[in-house]
Amino acid sequence: MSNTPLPATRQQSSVAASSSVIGVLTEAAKESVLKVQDYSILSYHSVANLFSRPRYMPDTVTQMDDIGTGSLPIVLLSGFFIGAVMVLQTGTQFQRFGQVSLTGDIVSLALVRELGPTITGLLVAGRCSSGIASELGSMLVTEQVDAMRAMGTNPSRKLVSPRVLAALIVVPLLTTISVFVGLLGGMVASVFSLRLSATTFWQRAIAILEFSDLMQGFSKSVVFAFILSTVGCYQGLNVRGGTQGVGRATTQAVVVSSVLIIVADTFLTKLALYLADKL
Amino acid sequence: MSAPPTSTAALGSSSEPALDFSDVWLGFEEGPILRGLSFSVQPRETLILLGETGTGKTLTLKLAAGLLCPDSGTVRALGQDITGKPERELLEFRRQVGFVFQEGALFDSLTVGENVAYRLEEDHVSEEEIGPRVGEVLRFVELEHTVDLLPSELSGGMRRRVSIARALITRPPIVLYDSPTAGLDPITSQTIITLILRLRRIWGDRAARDTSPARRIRAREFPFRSGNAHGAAGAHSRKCGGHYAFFGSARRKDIFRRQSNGHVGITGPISATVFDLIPV
Repeated sequence: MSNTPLPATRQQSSVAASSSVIGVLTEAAKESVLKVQDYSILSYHSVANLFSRPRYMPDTVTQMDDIGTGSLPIVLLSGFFIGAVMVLQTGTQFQRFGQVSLTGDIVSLALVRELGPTITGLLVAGRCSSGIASELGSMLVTEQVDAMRAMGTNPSRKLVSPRVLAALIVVPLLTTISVFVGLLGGMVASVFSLRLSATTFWQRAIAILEFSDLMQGFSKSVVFAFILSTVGCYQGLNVRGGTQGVGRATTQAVVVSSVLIIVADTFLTKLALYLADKL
Repeated sequence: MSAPPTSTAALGSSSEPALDFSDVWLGFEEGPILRGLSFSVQPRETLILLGETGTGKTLTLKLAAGLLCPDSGTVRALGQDITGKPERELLEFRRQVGFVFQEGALFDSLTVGENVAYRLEEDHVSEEEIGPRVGEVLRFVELEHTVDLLPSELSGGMRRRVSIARALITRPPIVLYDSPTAGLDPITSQTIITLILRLRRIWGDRAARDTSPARRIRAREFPFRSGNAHGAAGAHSRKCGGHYAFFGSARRKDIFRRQSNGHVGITGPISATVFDLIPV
């Protein structure tokens, strides 16, 4: 059981490429399956490590500061303006039916269920997934990861798990803040643009929310946190080709985690709606 | 100049080799690199690996530390078979191995002091004990003043010395040096080699106490040719207490020279110049 993904193990297991079309396709398919397998193993260990010693709590706190506090300004700014723009877009539609007061309902639902978790996930993926990939990638190419292993430290425990745990803790918090600030932005926009009273906006925004909506938003943010942190770690620890490889891994981390977040969002929404209907 | 802390690791008292490679094969996509490599290193012996680039010297060191697993064959170290061991057990094993990486591989976000103290921190050694031990080992490599600096603020040779200090702080019974002088200027190379030799001497090599330059460098040579074992040609082995050193070198001529009197010298990257700098 090797829980330290290293390029060497991948190289060993891959077979010499065939020149035929089928051979090339088979190789590509194998390569993809192998990547999924490596990613799954890394993800499994990142969580499994949390249930046994040693745990690196100081590293986790450092990462929480980096991912959480570091991402706060962009989350606050974007959250506020997304809430405001939601009001501007929907408000004009509701004005046509004379139901401007519904703006609070729709903005609140959209932010809590969808926009809060997704926008926060994408922003943190852009900022931190790339950061994690480049940091771990640089450590890999300068043999620091090997040095860690040589000194008896499991890189999965020391490098991956703290980042995953930190993301799992702070991304839902960031999402909560983002939603709150988004509602504030929505309120400001509705007061100044739609001439809706702040009280009405808040009352409707809060009243429409059910427990299932909050759970939907929360569970999405947890899943997105897991995706962005594990993808960043996976890309970083699988860098090949020196500093150029680090650059590629950084880009890949953002692209893959963003796409995965959007894809996962679709399925999570469907699942959450199904569960809300059943329960 | 003070000696580093005393070794706590128990040395195998039996005649069992400290390290034993038996028919080891290892290859990558481009084909096998190590083809049936077999050799053994006795306790208190220093072995130097020599060979062209790409012949698998660094791979051999990584196999010895359990950082890589051979395709076939067995690697035994300190009396245990480390081939195919699970990572969890290998992590334990590696705590008994000091590994000096070619480029130092210092953690660039940690200070020199934190780098050197890393292993002790991992072992939950108390802060009161860590400070003096780090100071002592850094004093030994003459870098005590750099304790609060970051690795990026050090020169290449200083980084290599810090890396040696980091590998040795727990006094491991096996020390592996991967091209310790690669990429360094001749004078710095000399410093590194002198440091390694001094370590070897201080760690209880009774026979090597003679400080005469003519006798200071002795080791067994192990030529590498395309990863095949060619036996230990012209063995001049020397025992050094608790310290089995292996040098992976970039080029044969870089590191190893034999004099007419049969003594063996280690040189730096520019062999001729460095050879003059080390009067053998």
